[in-house]
Amino acid sequence: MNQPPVVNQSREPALYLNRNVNPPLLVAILKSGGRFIKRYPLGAIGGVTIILLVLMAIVPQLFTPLATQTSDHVIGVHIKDRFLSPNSTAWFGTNGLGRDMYARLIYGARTAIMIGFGAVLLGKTLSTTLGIASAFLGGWTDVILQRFVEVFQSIPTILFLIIAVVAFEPKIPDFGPLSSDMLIIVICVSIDTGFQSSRTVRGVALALREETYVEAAVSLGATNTRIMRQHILPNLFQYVIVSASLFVGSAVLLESVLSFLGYGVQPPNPSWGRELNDAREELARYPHLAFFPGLFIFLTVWSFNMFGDALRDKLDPRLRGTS
Amino acid sequence: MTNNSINQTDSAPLLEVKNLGVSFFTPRGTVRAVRDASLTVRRGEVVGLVGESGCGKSTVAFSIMGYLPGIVQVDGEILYDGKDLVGMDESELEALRGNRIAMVYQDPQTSLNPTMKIGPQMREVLKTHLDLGKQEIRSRAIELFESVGLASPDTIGERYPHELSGGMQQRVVIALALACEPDLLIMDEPTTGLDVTTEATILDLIVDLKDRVNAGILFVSHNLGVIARVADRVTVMYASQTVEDADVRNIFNSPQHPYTAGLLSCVPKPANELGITPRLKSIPGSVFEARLEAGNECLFAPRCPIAHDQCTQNAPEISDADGHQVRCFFPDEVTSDIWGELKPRRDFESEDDAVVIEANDLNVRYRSRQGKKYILFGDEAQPPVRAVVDASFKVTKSRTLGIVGESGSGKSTTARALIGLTQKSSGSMLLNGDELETDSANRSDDQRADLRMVFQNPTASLNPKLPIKHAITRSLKLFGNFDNQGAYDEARALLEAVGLNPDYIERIPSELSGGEQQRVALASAFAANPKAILADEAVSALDVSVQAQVLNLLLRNQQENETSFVFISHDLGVVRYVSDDIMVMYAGHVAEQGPADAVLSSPSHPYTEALLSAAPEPDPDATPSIIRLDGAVPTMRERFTGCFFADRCHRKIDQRCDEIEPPAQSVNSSNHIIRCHIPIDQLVSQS
Repeated sequence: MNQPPVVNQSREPALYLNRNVNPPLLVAILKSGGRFIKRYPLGAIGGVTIILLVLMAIVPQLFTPLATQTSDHVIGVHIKDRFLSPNSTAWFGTNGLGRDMYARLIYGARTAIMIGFGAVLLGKTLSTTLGIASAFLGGWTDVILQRFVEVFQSIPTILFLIIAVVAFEPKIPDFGPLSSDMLIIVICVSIDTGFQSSRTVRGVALALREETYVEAAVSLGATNTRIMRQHILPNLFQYVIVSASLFVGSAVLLESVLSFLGYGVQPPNPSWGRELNDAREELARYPHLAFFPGLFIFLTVWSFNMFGDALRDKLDPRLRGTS
Repeated sequence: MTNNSINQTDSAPLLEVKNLGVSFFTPRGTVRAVRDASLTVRRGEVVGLVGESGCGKSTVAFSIMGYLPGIVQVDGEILYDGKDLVGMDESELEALRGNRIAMVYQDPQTSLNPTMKIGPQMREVLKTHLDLGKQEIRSRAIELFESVGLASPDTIGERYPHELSGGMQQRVVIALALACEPDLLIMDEPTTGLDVTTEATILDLIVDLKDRVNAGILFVSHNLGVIARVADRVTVMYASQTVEDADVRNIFNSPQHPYTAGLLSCVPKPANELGITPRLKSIPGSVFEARLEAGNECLFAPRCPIAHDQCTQNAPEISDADGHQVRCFFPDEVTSDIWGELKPRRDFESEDDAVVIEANDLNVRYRSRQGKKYILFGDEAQPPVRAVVDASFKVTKSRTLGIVGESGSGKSTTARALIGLTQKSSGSMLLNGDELETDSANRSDDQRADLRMVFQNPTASLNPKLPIKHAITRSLKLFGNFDNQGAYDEARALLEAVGLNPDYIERIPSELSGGEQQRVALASAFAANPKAILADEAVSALDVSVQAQVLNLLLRNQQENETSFVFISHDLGVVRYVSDDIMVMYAGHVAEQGPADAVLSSPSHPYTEALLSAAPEPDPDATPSIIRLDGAVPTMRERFTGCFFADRCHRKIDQRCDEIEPPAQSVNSSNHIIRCHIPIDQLVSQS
């Protein structure tokens, strides 16, 4: 029975009377950033952490001025310096091969972020394309695509990834900054999420297609292509953005899990999951070896989730509580 | 609480709201939802609270119930039985709520728990507030269901809410509200979501309840016709203030506030003694914004036709003359002419009778999708639904065909088939004598340019992500041979023509009000001068003042461009106002069609008769006619026999109605056609 009172929310023409007096762009951005921090403090913390992680990936020299990805104490072997506890030179200690953990984790961010963003970019493009195609072409295309989606939904993700990585890795070349072991993870994770989340995109697109403004366009003779471009994509965009920002965390986690199991990023490339795996055998004696990679993974996943949640609440409050 | 003491002093007010102010504190600033509202409810009286949306009616109702969120400031007094509800603590309020003060909401579906049967919901209310034994509760529940006119009250408790029609649900909600014999009943738009025939039966119930239960009723509605039907006193609200308060007859016959007079002249009325339908007047501008700080001025002054200098320098207070309270400095200047002189609906009659739209035996059938889509699973369990059956009609140049009927009668489907959004299953459709393809994708650009549609919900018919210029320039570029710049300029001109600021062209729809959005939709329908426009409930979502503006825009466009209209509405008053010809539809069938005057007068189809008597007239002295329909429009499936209206007909004659399809009878061999078994001469109204 307890309904909230109806306040005049929807009509606010007077509020926009001053709309022509736009503040300068920078001020506007700062202002809206300030509002975001105030309304979604957790999301803002997540956002700041994400910026730090991206910085680590692009310019790791800012964080470890001495190391480069191939420098000796990152990928070399130093028997004398094995299993050092955290100290003033190696802040997070060293691992079983005497490599500096701090530097390796900073460079691991590059791996994690590249794979995370890469998988999301490719995966969401795929899911949006498949979802819209399924919704608009209908008929047999729809039936067949949806059966594929069901196949992907019924295979455990990790199992699929392990099989696919093992089967295809030898056939994949390096691609720019992505080495073949990273590229294969990106591709397999994208295919999996692309199919799985295309079903939700299809649902949203089907709902949008029933909107009156789409019918209005149809009655004026708009083609399917035009409707997709003008009416469906712009309205689908916020949904895709939100689900993408939420998925980066999952992709990073998947990479860590794969590397932990030994199927992911191959040594000597730094990877948080691989670092965790290396720490496994000496966990009782040197817990710091597991603690720091675990912390990085946790922070990354948490940040993307918090930021994604806040973004969803801001862009489309109706989706609150859904994933 | 003992009611005796109050009964004896009948004139003592049960509820007195004095100078109520409600402010909400939102992140975007303070909203003054109510600035200064005063009203009084006595026992055995229905007080109507009326005003446009955004005037604070509902907030007043919710304040009385104490249903306001935490961040709110309430000033003034709400005296219930002498005690001030403002600042009363929660436990005391809870004892009153549901028990002494009960509320009925607009949407019965959301006030009933969908997972609980009706009976247990009722027993729960009774158990919470009354100290009764199990058997007593049971019999009391049945008594209550009976008192609100529910059929088979002893078994209805076993049913779930979704098994009941909307009207029955609302009866259950009213029964729940009456459970504890409340002293005060607050009804917030209780009939707004219902069909007009159902609305009429609920209004009958409320009028009847007023006499039976000794309670005061506060009836909130935007619909003046409904208010005239049930209310004894009326309080008018404008921009968060009460502006007039008087006996219902005084309000409707001699309003003293210019806003009240304006509202009344926005409502379509039947033709006067001379047979002339008066043109609707409209109130320019929009409601004073609740976010703004009110200065020392009359809030209605910017829209008022008789505003003086004093009105912008001082804020008027409520003054009282013989129980007629009004917030205006110059109530004596308010006459029926202040909103413009009486003019006929339009100043031309079309001579040209070229047929623009023609439909012959148009049929639309809906098939269930299952069995087609997934080839392996599911047969077609049910025969197809007959959404439109053998509809034939013509619309000539610059004339309007009105299609009227309850929801589910096939009105919208007819329009959608014409525009090509729904596939017809047989029959033919012609535009300017040329066959219209079933699917809009197969039609020529000329046909698409000549036939346009305006949809019901203005918010939904504009893409929320695109500036409104897209909606307008699109048809200009497609059909009007405009280049980008030319289309842009023409779009600005069109916006101006529909009474909008041309600078709105860069805005996105959410920056406009509902009325403004609908005008944008009209502007885009008017673009490149179509020959015919289909308006599907185009004014139903709008406030009366905006509705009047939009209707007049349509008529002006018709006059200037010789456009033909198919105007679809469930509101008989609106259809009567715009139409030259009327087609009454019921369950997909055309019950009656012909020239507007002929259809709306005797002889008429029993269904038309029922619709006419259900339509609420904005006149408190109108004697309500007694023809009422129960139930809802049935879904017509294939293999149906007999008359489509037989189930609900109050004049059903014999077996024939159940077995044989009714013949199309022509009245005096004119084009006025009635589909009924009853001979024409007996269809002449008995009253």
